[in-house]
Amino acid sequence: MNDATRALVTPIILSQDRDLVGEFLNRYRDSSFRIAMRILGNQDAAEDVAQEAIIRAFRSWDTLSGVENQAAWVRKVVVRCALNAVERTPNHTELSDVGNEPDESVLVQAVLESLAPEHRAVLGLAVGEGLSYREIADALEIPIGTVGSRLNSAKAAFKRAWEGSR
Amino acid sequence: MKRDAFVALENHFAGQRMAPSEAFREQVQVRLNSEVGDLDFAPVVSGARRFLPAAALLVLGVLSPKAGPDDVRRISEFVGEQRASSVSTELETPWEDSTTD
Repeated sequence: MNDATRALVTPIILSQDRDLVGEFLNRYRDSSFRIAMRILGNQDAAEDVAQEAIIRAFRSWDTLSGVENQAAWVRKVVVRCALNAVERTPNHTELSDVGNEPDESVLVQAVLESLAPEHRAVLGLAVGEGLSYREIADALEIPIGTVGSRLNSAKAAFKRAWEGSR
Repeated sequence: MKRDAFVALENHFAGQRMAPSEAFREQVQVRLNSEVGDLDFAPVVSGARRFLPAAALLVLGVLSPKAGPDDVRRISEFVGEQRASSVSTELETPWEDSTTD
């Protein structure tokens, strides 16, 4: 779709009595939550971030209507909101706070929360969500050539922290 | 004995909850409906309606022989002006905090 056509299609769509909110939510609500969950690992925090990202993305409907890959654009908004949340929120769980025989998932989450935000994010997107390097590069706004090295660093950091945990 | 780090990591992600709660679904719908009420689409819609025949042809891929590049440009510019004159809702970096929040 060229710019001229896009400029015309957007307002036409808006002029029709379509359920914009319903369509937007059907497309992006669950996937936004899922992405936030991969990075944050906590349901309440993920829902807060997903809601914030959905509202912000929807407010930017004009930008959204002009991008080729809307799902990737919304994902980028979610990832940025999730990283902002990670940076302004102290770790939920310190490694030293988990019990003597913690549930494995609790321990994994504690290890993830001990990592740098960018490591946490790349692990969530690559291992958790199974995104391609291209998709991860877009979501994190980094060159595609950086994704592999960041993922390797993140895996190494996770392994070190895991082996050093109880 | 502790499991391999990456097996544990993969199991952790595989066991994560993948669907939000019903309360979240309802809450975000209410918030978005409220957002729609705050957006002013009227100037955009008015611009589109005025040029709907030409626009419809474009959308259908059936360009009128009379609708040359200049017509397309003119219509596009008009709609662009209408959009520019509407209340700005665009955020270049929507993940950043704005003063209107």
